[in-house]
Amino acid sequence: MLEIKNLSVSFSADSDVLAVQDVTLTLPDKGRIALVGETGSGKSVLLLAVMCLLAKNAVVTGEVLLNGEDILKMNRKQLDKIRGALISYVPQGGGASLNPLMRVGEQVGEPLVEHQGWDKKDSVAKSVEVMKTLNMGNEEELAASYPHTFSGGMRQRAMIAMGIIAGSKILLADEPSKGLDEERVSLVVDSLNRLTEQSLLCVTHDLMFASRISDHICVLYSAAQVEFASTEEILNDPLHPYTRDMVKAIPENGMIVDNVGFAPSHDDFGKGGCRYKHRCKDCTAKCSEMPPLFDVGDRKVRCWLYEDKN
Amino acid sequence: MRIRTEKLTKIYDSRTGSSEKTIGALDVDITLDKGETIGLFGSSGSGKSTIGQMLSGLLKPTSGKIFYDEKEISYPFRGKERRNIQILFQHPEVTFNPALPLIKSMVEPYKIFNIEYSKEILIESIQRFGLHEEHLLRKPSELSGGELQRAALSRLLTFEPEVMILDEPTSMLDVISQGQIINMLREYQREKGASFVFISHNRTLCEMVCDRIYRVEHGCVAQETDGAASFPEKPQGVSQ
Repeated sequence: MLEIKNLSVSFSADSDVLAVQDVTLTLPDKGRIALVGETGSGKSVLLLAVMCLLAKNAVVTGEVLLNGEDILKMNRKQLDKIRGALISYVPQGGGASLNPLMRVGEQVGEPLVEHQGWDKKDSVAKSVEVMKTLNMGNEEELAASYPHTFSGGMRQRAMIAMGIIAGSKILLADEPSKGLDEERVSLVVDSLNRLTEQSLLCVTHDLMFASRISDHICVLYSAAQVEFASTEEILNDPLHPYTRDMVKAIPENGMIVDNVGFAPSHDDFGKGGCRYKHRCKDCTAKCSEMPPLFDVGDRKVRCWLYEDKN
Repeated sequence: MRIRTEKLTKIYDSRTGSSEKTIGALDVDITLDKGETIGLFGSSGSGKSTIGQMLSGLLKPTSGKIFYDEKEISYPFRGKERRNIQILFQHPEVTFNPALPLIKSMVEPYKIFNIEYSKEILIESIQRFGLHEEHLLRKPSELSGGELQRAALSRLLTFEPEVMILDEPTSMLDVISQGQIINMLREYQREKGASFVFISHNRTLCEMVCDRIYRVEHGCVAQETDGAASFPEKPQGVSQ
């Protein structure tokens, strides 16, 4: 289980510009959460913070508990132990992360060789096995090929295989559908949905993709978590004004974008109040103060509209 | 007919020097009317971007003809076609020079075509797209994807193009930014009667945006349907 508690990230101590502000999220075993938001909303930074992969100038506060232990307090050695074995991360544009000079089978199996002292030949056999669980097709042939012969979707799935091969039960994926066409997105969805033993925390800007791989969705807007609910509730009965505007703008729902304006510039971040107030049709005087995350049933919404329903 | 192609073909030579050739586009016949939006729909590698690049004058066709207002134009485009046909790319983050503040990239159209320029004119033109003076001083890496794509669109419209090739202009954007870009494009089309070639792999979006859709497969335009009509699962026949 992964518990993120009041996680905030900024890139210099004296700055009030936050890249991630006060995110609280629990990823249960075998849970599947999609983090949805526009570019610059802080979703990728959140994943990097969870993996302790941010650059040194990043100031991270809050807690990230992996089975009760705070990842943020671990030293390098402890991190090496959990990365790959308990929690793993598939970066954005996964294809580019593959070594072009190494056969895919060896590469997918590398975590076993590096972290668990496996024999190279066994690791390749195991990588074929893992690629089979992801239903990649012609797995033996794939294992013997080089990454440049793979399509973007295949590379992405090879990265997912690498993520889970060493037994990791938590997979963090950053935009696994980005830049892929519909057919290949479907293949990535299929592979992700075959991960029945793992829990998934997946960042995406594509709400429709999110709906196909997740059971819960966390919506981020301008660094702040604005809504958390089941995927079905988000799509059929969104509560936060931003989520509502987003759901209306899905092409399948008619692509309605009526005067919602534009995201605030980063300079305005520190000026307080609800981040969405400039674009919100329900904005009141109260919105000049940042609302807390209200509980509405099982759901969480950061909007003053739901103060009384708390 | 604003744009018409006749047997437009692009054959790529093998990079390894062998005699093997790859078909980028083969005998493509498409038409684009004034004020019309046509879609090029297909999976990645189908050749839709190849066709788009030939139409925008970025790529030299191996053979075939392109007509603009029934006058044949050839690569490289010169004169008014060069200005009147513009392309909007998929990746807004690589559209602009990463080393320069945005303003340097934004003034280029004014310089190239001697369009009357002042900072006020530029600021006024970007405000329509939800951008402000402070955005101009930032580098591309300091702007979001939606902001950059709106800046790219704003820069493009400085040319007042009659034909725009839109190569997956919204696939990297969230749904609200996508809707905004589409609305801005539609508004420009209404105002100026511009024609669009909309390249996409998103079926729903294609149907919503386009008057007619060409399905592209293996470099061939396989089928033409009405934008609103639903897609049959398989193409009905390949015209080569």
